[in-house]
Amino acid sequence: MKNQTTYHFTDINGVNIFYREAGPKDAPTLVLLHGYPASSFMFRNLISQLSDKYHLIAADYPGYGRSEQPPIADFEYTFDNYASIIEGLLNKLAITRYSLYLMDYGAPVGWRIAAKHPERIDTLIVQNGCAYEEGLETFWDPIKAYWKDKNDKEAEDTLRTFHNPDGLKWQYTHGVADTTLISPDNWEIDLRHLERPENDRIQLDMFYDYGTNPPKYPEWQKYFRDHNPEMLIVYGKNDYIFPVGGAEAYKKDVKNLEYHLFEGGHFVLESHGDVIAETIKDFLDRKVKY
Amino acid sequence: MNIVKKNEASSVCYRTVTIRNVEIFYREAGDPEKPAILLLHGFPSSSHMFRNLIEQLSADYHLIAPDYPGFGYSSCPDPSEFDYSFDHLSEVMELFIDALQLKHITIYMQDYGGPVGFRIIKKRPELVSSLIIQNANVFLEGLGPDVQKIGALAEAQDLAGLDAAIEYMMSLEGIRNQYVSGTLHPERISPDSYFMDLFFFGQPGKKAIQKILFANYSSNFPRYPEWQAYLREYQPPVLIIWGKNDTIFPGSGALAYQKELPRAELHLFDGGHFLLEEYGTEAARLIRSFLQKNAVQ
Repeated sequence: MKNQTTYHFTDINGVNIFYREAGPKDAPTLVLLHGYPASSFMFRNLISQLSDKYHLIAADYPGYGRSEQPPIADFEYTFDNYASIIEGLLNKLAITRYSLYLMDYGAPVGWRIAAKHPERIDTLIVQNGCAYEEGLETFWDPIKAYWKDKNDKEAEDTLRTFHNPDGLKWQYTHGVADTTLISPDNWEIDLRHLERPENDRIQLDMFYDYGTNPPKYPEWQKYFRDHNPEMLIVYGKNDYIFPVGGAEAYKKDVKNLEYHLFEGGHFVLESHGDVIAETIKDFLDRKVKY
Repeated sequence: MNIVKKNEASSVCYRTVTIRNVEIFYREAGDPEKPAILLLHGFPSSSHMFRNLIEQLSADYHLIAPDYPGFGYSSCPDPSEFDYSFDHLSEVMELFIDALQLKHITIYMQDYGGPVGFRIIKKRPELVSSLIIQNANVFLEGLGPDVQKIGALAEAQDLAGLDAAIEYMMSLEGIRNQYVSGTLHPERISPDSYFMDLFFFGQPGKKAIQKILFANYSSNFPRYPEWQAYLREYQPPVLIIWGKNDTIFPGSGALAYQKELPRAELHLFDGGHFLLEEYGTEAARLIRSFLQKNAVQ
């Protein structure tokens, strides 16, 4: 029997943070970390599918989804700060052990938390999220140019095309054989969030701040080697943003790795949600026992 | 290493079909060989209100949830080219049923889904294998305080008052209130529900269309006796699930069905107008059990 999802707002470090929650509170927790420029909306079905046996928490970062978007002048839009917000939320909810689901931007947020608190981590579920230089292919060229020069207006214009209406639809449909499986609710909701005043600037700032992640890759890889976390990879294999090379790379450092590719794209939960939910359930059932 | 090619056959698909030059968007899931359930949405929503129910029933049923013209992702022709009336919406939906070659269906009706659905059912009773009625009213005693307030404004020909009422019902606060009012567990109401509706109303021309349709709502009242007569005469299998604290269509409207349908299965919930948001899992369970009991094919 699935459990009904609930929807909450709570103050974390002075920001009103929205999160979805489902499942028994005494069951093992899975914290779901969303990608750019989506929100916890991307986990709406997965949350319900896992809620019979697991406790699910999915927050929106500031400036995304239904969380508050503080003015840029008052809030530091960085991966460090997002990790601190998620940590703050977990502390407030008194969740001290958990698995992480890391997708896209969720990866650098989650790696910061995992490397800082290895003892809190039950398992890691990685879906199209990166920890290796070789995972940053062609898509990243204009972003790398932007890291070199934040005044590069040409790079900025290119970055904007990733979340304009066509670019956003592309993010959801590229690499998907049957695009009738992709709900238009995804981009409809994301676009309305992106239209908020200053949101465009926040997206550019986050692209720029993504440059803080590759220098940390060696540290995160060392965490994998030193702590041998249990990891499940569920990757959309046709993703152009985080291609399979980045998934393969985990094999170098992660000993306890289960590796699954799906015939989909960047937001592979949209086309393969049922089968990924089954894969996660099977993995957690074996790996996490309280 | 294996590469998984396919998801389950029950995956939800998002499609369109053109009916009389109007592109109708619909969500579809499940095996077309399985019993079909047509989901007719209410105001101020769209097929989005059925997103979770579709997921929950797709392993066992063939589900189809269209957006009416002017709603959700369906196209929104200019009122000079399209008659926004309940008569016309139901005509388009009848053609939609035929275009998808649906022959024998369970029809789920909520709010506006009632007047749209009952027009079709009355005309084509052979389509009906069973009915699921959720806060969709066909009895004068089922008109709640919100509807009566609007009725009083209409009677007094208070056009400014009517306009303010519909504007409020399309504002964030007004839409949210339609979802949250009367609920016992407001934390179960997903902001996705009311924000999605709000986003659609933000599109050009959408609110003007709603006002035209709103003004046409009184065309439904004179039809109630013939819809009641249909129920009396045909006695289709009926499941009534109803948020009894709904201020638009309160529980009295659910109980009224029993006059015509003594054998109907009725469940009143301590909830509001959009019952599925608060009690979706329980509603799905009741629907499954009702359809199994009635061996709907």
